[in-house]
This record gives sequence, C-alpha cells and structure tokens, in this order.
Amino acid sequence: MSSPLEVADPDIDTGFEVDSDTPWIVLVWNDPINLMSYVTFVFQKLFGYSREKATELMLDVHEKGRAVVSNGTREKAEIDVARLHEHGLWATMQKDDS
Amino acid sequence: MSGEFESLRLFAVGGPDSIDVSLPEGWDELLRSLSEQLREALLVGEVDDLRRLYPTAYPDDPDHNAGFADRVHDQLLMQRLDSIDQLQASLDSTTIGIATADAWMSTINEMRLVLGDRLDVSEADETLDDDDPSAPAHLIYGLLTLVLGELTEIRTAFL
Repeated sequence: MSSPLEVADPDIDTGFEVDSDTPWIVLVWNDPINLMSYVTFVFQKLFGYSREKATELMLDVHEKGRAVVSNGTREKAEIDVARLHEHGLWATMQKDDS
Repeated sequence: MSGEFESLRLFAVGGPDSIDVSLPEGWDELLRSLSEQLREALLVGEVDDLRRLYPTAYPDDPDHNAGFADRVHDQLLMQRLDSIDQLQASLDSTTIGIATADAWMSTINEMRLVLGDRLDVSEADETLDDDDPSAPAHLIYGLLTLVLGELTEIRTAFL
C-alpha cells in the first residue's frame, strides 16, 4: 500500500501580508496529552517528512521539551502554526536568531 | 503479567483509500455523545476550557498573538465543527474514507485535549483509587486514547 506523501499546502488563510525580513522558526512543545505516534503522524502529514525524520523530531519534542519543525517568512510560519494548532499540537513561532 | 496488551484491531486497511472500522458495541454512541459535548464546548464553552485548542502562537508578543487569534479562530472553529459532523455521520459505517478518518482523528484528539487538560493528566502512569470521583473521566480518556492510537497507526499506512 503506497501513496504520495501529503505535502503541506496551506489551507488556513491567516490574511497576513508577506514579511520578507528576518526568517522565522516554528517550534512544537512537549505536552502530556498528545500521543507520540500522533505527533509523528502530524509531522509527516503536514510537512512531508519521512517517517524517520518525523520520529526524530517527535523524540526531540518528547525528550528535550521542544523542536524546530519548520522555518520561513512570518506568513509561512503563521500558516504552519495554525495548521499545527488545527491538529492539536502546541506550536509557537519566533524570529530565528541563529 | 507484564508486557503490552494486543491491539483491539478497531481499524484496518480496507482498500486503496479506505479504512475498515470495527468498534465494540456502544462505543459509537459514546463517541457520538462525547463529540456533541465537544461541539457545545466549542460554541459556548469557557475560554479556559478550550486553551489547549487555541494555544498561543507568539508567547512573547501579545499584540501579534491577538492578531493571529483573530485571523484563525473562526476558521479553526468551522473546521472543528465540520469534523464533528463528519464523525457523527459515519459512526454507523464499517468503512470510512481517508478524509473522514482525518476528521475522526481531529475530533477524538480534541476530546482528549479538553478532557486531559481538565483532568490535569501527566506523562506518568497514575493509579487511581476506586472511589476517586475522576475515575470515570479517566476511563473515558483512556478509551479515547486507545481509539486514537489504533486509528493513527492505520492512517499512517496511507501517508
């Protein structure tokens, strides 16, 4: 059984104007409710990550408390955060100072 | 006895884009009732009860966070209500499509988030006393966890 990986297409319009300055990062934070398997699934579904990459990110969330799951413009980051919230994950965004 | 319990096999791959459903008797009515309670909470519930469904996006910037919330809240609400409708419309089905399965997952996880937050669940396994008044709610939370876990495993096969 196989099918193309679903790659994220924004389906939530945040109505935000493009901000092409400092890139932004999206973080997902650990919480005691979301299942590890579900978090892994969401990362694969929304971002098109492989099972291995999604699992790696999930374990970072679980063991380190948080993980950076995507980056980009403010608009893209808001879309990604909104989609993660839609799936019940605790996600925030901030400027990438690295 | 030690070790993991075997799956209840609530779900199975049905075809190229479908999932077979086999819920124990009464579970469909329980999910229907719980999803209706979720609908009511979404429409008229207290903000604190729904904080896990509408997290902060900008933790250090209240102004931008307020703007973000204004922009996405109604869309998230409509999507959640639509998912509840899809779940309720398909609870009697023995086969569901992938989009409907996603609606099941969203709704069931949202029920877990609201209930789990209310129960203040932690990652540590906790043993409740038999007369703990929250025991029934914990039982429901556990059931929802079981359903979501098994559905997630099967749904992942379609990625």
